[in-house]
Amino acid sequence: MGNSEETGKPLGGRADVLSGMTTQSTGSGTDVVVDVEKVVKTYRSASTEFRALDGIDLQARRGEFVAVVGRSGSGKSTLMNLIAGLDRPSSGNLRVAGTELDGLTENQLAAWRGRAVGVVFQFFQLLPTLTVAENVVLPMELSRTVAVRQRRDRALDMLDRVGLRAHADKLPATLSGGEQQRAAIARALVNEPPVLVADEPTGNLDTHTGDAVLDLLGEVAAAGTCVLMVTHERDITSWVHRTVTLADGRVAA
Amino acid sequence: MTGVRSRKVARDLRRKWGRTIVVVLAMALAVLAVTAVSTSYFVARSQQLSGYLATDPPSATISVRGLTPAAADQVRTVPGVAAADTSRTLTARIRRPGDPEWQQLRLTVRDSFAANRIARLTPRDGVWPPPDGQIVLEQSGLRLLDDITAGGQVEVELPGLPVRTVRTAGTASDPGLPPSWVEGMVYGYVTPRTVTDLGFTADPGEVRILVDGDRTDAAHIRSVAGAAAQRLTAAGVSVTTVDVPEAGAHPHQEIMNGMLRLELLFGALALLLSVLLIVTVVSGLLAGQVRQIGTMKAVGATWQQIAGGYLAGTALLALAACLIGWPLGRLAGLGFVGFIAEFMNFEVTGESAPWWLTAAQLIAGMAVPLLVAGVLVVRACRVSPVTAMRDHGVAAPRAGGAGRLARGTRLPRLPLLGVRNAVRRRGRLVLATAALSVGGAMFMAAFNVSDGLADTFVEQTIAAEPYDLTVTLDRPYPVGELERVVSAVPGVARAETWTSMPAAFPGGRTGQLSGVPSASPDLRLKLTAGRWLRPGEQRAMVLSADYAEENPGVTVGSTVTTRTGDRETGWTVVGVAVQVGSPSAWVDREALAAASGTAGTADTIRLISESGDPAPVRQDLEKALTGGGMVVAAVRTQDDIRKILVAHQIIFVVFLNLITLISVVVGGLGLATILTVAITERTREIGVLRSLGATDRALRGLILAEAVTIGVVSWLVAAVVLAVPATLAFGAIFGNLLLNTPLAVTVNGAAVAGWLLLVCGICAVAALLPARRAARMTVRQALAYE
Repeated sequence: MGNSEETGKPLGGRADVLSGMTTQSTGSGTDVVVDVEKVVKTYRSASTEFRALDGIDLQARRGEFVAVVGRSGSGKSTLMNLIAGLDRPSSGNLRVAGTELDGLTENQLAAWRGRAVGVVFQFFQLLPTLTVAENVVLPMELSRTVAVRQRRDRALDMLDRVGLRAHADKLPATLSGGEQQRAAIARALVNEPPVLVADEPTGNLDTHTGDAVLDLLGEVAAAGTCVLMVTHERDITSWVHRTVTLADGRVAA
Repeated sequence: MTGVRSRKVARDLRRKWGRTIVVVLAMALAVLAVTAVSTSYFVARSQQLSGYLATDPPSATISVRGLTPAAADQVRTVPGVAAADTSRTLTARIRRPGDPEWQQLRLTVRDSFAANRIARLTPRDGVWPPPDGQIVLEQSGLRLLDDITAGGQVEVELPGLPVRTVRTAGTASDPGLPPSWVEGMVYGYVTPRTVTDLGFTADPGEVRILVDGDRTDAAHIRSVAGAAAQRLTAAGVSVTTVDVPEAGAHPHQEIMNGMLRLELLFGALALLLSVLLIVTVVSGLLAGQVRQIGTMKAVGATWQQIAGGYLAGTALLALAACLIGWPLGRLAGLGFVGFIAEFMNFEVTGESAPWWLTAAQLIAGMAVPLLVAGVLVVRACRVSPVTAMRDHGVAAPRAGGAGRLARGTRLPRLPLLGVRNAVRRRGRLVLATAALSVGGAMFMAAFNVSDGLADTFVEQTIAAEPYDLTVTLDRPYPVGELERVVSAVPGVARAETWTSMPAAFPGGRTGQLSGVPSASPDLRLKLTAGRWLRPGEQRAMVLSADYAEENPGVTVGSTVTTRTGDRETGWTVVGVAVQVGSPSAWVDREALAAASGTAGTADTIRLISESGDPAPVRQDLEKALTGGGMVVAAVRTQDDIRKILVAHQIIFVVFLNLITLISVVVGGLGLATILTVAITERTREIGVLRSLGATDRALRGLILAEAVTIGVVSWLVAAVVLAVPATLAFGAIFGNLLLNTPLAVTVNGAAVAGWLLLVCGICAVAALLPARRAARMTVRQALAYE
């Protein structure tokens, strides 16, 4: 499972707010849904070479809420991008939600992402010309995981669970930062992926709103989803099960 | 594409409505260019040819002397002759009463206007056929006579006869003739009785025949025309020439083809520019979508799903572009057909195009924008999600000249930052400058070629034959007598006597042979091969470039045998010369006169006046010639010739003006779009600068510097790299069409400077609008700008 600090929180406690969600089977036969093995990521420019990740090993289980921390440039976001299939490693193996990512084409990665991984960004990245509900419908439409007639209902249900039902038909720009981030989480979870990757989800929020988002992510993990979160927050131990610290592209603790 | 994505595309387009409109305009321009060019190409070609062929143009024209009605009847009985008529063409002068200026008049005398079987004229106004004592005018000549109408009076002066007033019976159109306003000559039609009443002999000089059977079979026509000529000879008629024009082709088919080729070139250029514009504006539109593409990929979209959405949106825009561009293109195309019709003197009787042409136009209108935008969309959609998510509209500057410039100078930092901003996204810079550079090059080339055209086509033509006055007599007169009369006229600096006559050239074509003083100090024709005639050189010939091009086997050293009257003469080609409206060939005047049996005579006086004003000389010379018993058939001043030359180049000037206009529109739109995108993308950077204390003025300086850098780079590329080859290419195309030689290369400094000013003006307007919007934002808003 790599070097990390256990916080002692129990796994898999299903929270009320997300009751009814079921995670997909990884088909691996174990609870490990994220398996990172000796992963290296090197960025090259004309004159320089920068090793962002240097032989990372990391495993995370279903229902586990893992925080990845470290100083700026330590490789946190790079690691999250690799786990979410947004980028490819220079070497090493990644097995996420039961799928070896190495041999997948960009299109196969996209299709896999739609079903297997939810991604939450620091700046929310809601599509500005779609309403909140439409943003949540989009992953279902792309992955065709839900019948057309049921998509809006399911989106509204998901928004209801994150407390945004009343804002469903508003454009993202009319929502506060915290509301936008909750909408982004709803979008990330609507296809019920076994893994949720969140890159600084509270980085653009005030403390109170950030805490609410962390609560929500905790509930997601409690519902059985593996949540991996990059964060700068220092006091997160009450939310996460485990903290992985990166330094200079390696797991420091 | 299903619901949410289609709504996204629709709302994105609505949100960026300004850019959407520019995209539609760019696409509409492509549709317009394709539709206008193909419509006018098709309609003009078919209308000119079908209109001309419907008049039953003569299959052959036999020039004769001593024709009798009985001999003409004999021709009608020759097997293969469907119809034959006789006519005489006279050169005269015409004007409205009271008008001091005479116009040249080509008067056609026919014995069978009522039958109107061969080269039928179409009556337009007034009475048809011309009654005895009245004249029918070809309609394109009306403007030379102050738009005279049927029933009006004109004064006609036949060579050597007093001025007579004749009533205009009506007007008709003759699609076989070039328009009067281009040729500087009015065409009139009268009966033999009218000419006789005017005091002139109406003996027909030519027999026109129309063959039956296949009228496009040149061999058949030659055979029938030969038999008709033999029949005439047997009847005691002297046959001078037998002219068999190219079967099934309009007399000006070559000019028409040339113009249409130019139009195709223009269409290709317009299409190229609109494609560049589409690339520019679609890239601008996609630039704002990069992060959203990354987001969609992050939530599971494949590139095909994303591209499908954008392509569906592009198809909608292309459809809108078709709806705008196609009708406008058709209107523009038909408008241009009207212009060509006026220039080529044919009437447009039908504007319909076949269904397949319309279908092809619409398919091309959809396909071109879709293909161009499709390449860009697919490229944008295939970017990796991480790269897309990281896109902030800015990129790290590469080590380059701009960076070094900024570091190595003491110039103010902000304007220098603007310069560096302009060059740090090189792909964008190339895109921004491509449309503008091509537009600029075309703009400059159009002005350069316009100057070159005026220089080569008008000024060099006049410089080659710098005679102030050309007086054509009704027949050859003894040279000594002509010289004696001219020498008595005051104000004449130098005078020459020329002679010209039609001659049958090899291949059955009739051309004009010009007999010139081979030692002339003033005649300076431009040679493209060989040399000029040597003084007194017998049997030497300089061919016109036109004739040489039509007969590729004839070169310097070849022998060309011509037939003038009953005599055949062999000439050795010593050179090839260029001249507008030139004869087929030049030979020594004395040699020509001797070859035609009129040794020691000439029929044309060309002179240079002492003052440069031929008006007084003209009056005195005409009086002296008339007093000496000679008959003046036509008089042309250098100014008349200049007017005709200018009229001939009008269509090309119009082409060039269109090129100029489209260059400005496309270049301006492209630049405005790219600048708007570039500056909008940097809103956050502007927020940073404002947070550091940058004032509105400083920001304006920064943005203006960026905009002007793009403008100046494009101007430099246009002026230094592209304008010269574009000028050479246009000059070669236009020159070869008009003169069979490239145009003189000229550089229009005003156009070069004007384009720079224009570009800087567009830059200022296009850059300052988004800059103003950015400056109005608070620092917080600017920093949070997505």
